[in-house]
Amino acid sequence: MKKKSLWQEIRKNYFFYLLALPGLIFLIMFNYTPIAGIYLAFEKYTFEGGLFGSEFVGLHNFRILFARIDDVIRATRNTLVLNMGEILFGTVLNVAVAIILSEINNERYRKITQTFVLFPHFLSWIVIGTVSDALLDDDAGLINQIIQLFGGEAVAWSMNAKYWWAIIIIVSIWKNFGYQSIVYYATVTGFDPGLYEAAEIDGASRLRRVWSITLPLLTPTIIIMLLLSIGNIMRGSLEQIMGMTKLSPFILETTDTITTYVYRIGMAGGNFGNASAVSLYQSIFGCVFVLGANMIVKKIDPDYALF
Amino acid sequence: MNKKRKRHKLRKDSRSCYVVMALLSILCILPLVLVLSTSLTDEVYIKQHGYALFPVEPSLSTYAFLLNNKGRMLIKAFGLTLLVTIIGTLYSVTITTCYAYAVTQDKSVFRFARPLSFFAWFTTIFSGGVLPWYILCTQYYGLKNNIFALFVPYGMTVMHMFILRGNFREVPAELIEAAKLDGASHAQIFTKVSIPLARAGITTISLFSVLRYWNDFYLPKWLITDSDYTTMQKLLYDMLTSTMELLKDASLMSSISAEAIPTETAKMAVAVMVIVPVVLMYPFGLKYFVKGINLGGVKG
Repeated sequence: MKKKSLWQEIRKNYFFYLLALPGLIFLIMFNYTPIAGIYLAFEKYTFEGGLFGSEFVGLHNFRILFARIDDVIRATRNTLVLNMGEILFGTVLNVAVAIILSEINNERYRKITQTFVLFPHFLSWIVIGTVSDALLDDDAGLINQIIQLFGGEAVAWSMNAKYWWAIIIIVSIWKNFGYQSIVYYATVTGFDPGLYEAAEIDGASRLRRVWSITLPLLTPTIIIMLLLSIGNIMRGSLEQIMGMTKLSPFILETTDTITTYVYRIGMAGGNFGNASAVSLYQSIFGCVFVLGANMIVKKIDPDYALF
Repeated sequence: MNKKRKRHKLRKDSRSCYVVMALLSILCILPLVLVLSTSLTDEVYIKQHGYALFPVEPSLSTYAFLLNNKGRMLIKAFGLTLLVTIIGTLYSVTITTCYAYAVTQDKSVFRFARPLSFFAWFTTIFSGGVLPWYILCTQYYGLKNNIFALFVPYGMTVMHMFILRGNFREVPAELIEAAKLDGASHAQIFTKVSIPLARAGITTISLFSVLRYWNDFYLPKWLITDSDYTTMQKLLYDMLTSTMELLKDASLMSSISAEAIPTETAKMAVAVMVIVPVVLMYPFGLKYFVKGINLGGVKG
């Protein structure tokens, strides 16, 4: 095959170059230039100096980071706990819901309930924060009303950090299980019905069929989905924590994640260099997790690998 | 299809499965009922008895109060959010569709199809973090306290791009060959053959995009400090936090409950205004959401 010169090719197929151009410019401006901007972590940023012209200070920002290592460890711990909790408990519920849905023969009933459980996924974290205010208000909240109805004592949710791991994990799962169970449900409906017929003829009970046919067949999908979520374990949503806690200082002990920590010391505290050092640490470990998880996924089933 | 139906006939229904799904459905809807009924309850009642799942004496007084006192602010925020959602969706979907179509091409037609695919994908595994992004946006790109700041940074969502690439790949090659034989240009094939055939995917990512802009709090939080550019989500968040500020101050608290200014119910009323558009588009979008989720779950 004769290789044309690049210029000739561009002239011949200029249409595709034009199509890709806006996206390319976007990615360079908003994704790749910020990657170059990691330089921020090694300088003493000033507005006048700008992103690439401020004074270079080497590892100074990282030294400060180690001086505040307790906060970084706390933020890392919270990020990992919240993500792991959501992944582990969430997966159990997602799989259970998918199997329960597949056991419902009445298509209309199934569709309607699926519509309801999917809905919270499309609400913003700020709206969900509003809902949780009504549920968890120390004085007027619905949960405390219920606790008191059964003779218990009202809990001061907003002042007790110890409850917030559970609260955030439960609310995240509530928001997302309808959405995440869809992938499992689609897999379950694809299984060979012959297997179930045979089991039925052999007199296997429903639970038995789920245990011995559905779950083993679903295991590869579960493992793959788990690994893909574990790849994102260093990440976190700023909107989630802000919506749920409004960054209330009383509960930061359990709700300050790496993402909110970067926001707090960078944006609110004005310490860009230091925050950027933490951010770089998050990016690097995040990348390691994604690549590691993907490598394992690729070994199990190349179709699911991201690359 | 046939096989599935047969299986459904064979297996008997389990009542407990129906009950569990009913309970889960209620669990997902009840908190929203709480928001709606609080917005319809009198503020004094909430102060005395707490939030109620069903309004005791439903009234529209909170909505009336908001419209009378904060009507301009609300309409402005609602209008701005709607505008950003429309412009932003057009902007994102255009960029994403064009890019996805370009990277779908065979390398004999477009040499950089694969490298550009990788170029986009790489951004999903490694990022420079939010602070360089923030400095670039505000200091170099002029994306601060203007309407552009509310949509320009969301130009291309790489996952959406891959969903669309999957759609474009499913367009039968014979159709494209046939169009070529008829003398159609690349541009004609793109607009007359590929886009109509990938309509489902484009609708899916458009709907995701609409929700993303409507629900967005990230861009207003980072890039907007001017109250002229308050979106609905920002407004709701400001209401949540400023009442918290008030509550911290005990001396103010008593004067407010005396005046019975609807603070709690006002938050809920604004939340209702944020939720209603989502509810309205939800039945229409449902089919596409399910499709999109399945596509997104597997490699694009």
